[in-house]
Amino acid sequence: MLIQVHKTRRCNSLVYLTRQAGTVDDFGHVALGEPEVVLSLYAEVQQMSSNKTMLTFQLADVVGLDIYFRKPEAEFDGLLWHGHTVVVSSIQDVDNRGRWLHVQGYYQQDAL
Amino acid sequence: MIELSTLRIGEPPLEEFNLFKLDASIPDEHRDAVLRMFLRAAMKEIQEYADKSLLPCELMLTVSGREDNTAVRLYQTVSEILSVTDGQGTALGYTLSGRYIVPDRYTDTVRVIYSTEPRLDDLTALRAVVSMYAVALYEHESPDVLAKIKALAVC
Repeated sequence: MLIQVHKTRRCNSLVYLTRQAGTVDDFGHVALGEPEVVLSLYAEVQQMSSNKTMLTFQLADVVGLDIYFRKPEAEFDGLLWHGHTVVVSSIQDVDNRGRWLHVQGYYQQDAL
Repeated sequence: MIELSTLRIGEPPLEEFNLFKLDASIPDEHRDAVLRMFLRAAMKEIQEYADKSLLPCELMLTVSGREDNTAVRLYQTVSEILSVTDGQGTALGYTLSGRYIVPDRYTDTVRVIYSTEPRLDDLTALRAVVSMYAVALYEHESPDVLAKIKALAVC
């Protein structure tokens, strides 16, 4: 295994940031549109260990992801990673300077 | 006393800038102005530390309190001597051998204005250190981390 040096980030995973724009139909009903890719970038992605996850997650067939990348300008509300549609559950500006984002998300294993 | 000041400094080449962005995993253009500032600062710092030019510059070297007419050593990669004067601004004759310049007569102060031009060899050898240093500056790393990276420039 490669040595992980303190504070280094290995951004070697291609990630597509997506955004779902809101649409309003003729009856005034608001709905989310199809996710559109806004930006592709390299990120550090760590997958949650499947046998250490909470039982609820195991039963729901959900895999958690820890994703770190440079904060882009583009707005996004989801992302694609290795063909998985990742639901973004929380976004954190790690250093409070807009340098790194920590995105916690999950994807449904069934979506494979 | 020896004093080296920068009169003019060139822009980092586009290739260098793109490599730095790639190295720092910066995905878009919205911080380009800030990144250019860090790259220019990094290149200036590394070229001064390694004593090899990375950006085309115009430098002014002032040597004062001289006791005899020994040769004056010029720093970084000298391309062209623009002027050699004494403390009052009177032009002096000189002979140049390598990086050393010897004025024709003794004066207390010698001021040399010269331009520098980067060599491809130096750019290639120091490219990685420059990128590391620029990323560390961008990350607001502590001075001891910066010093460690800078030390790589003379390895």
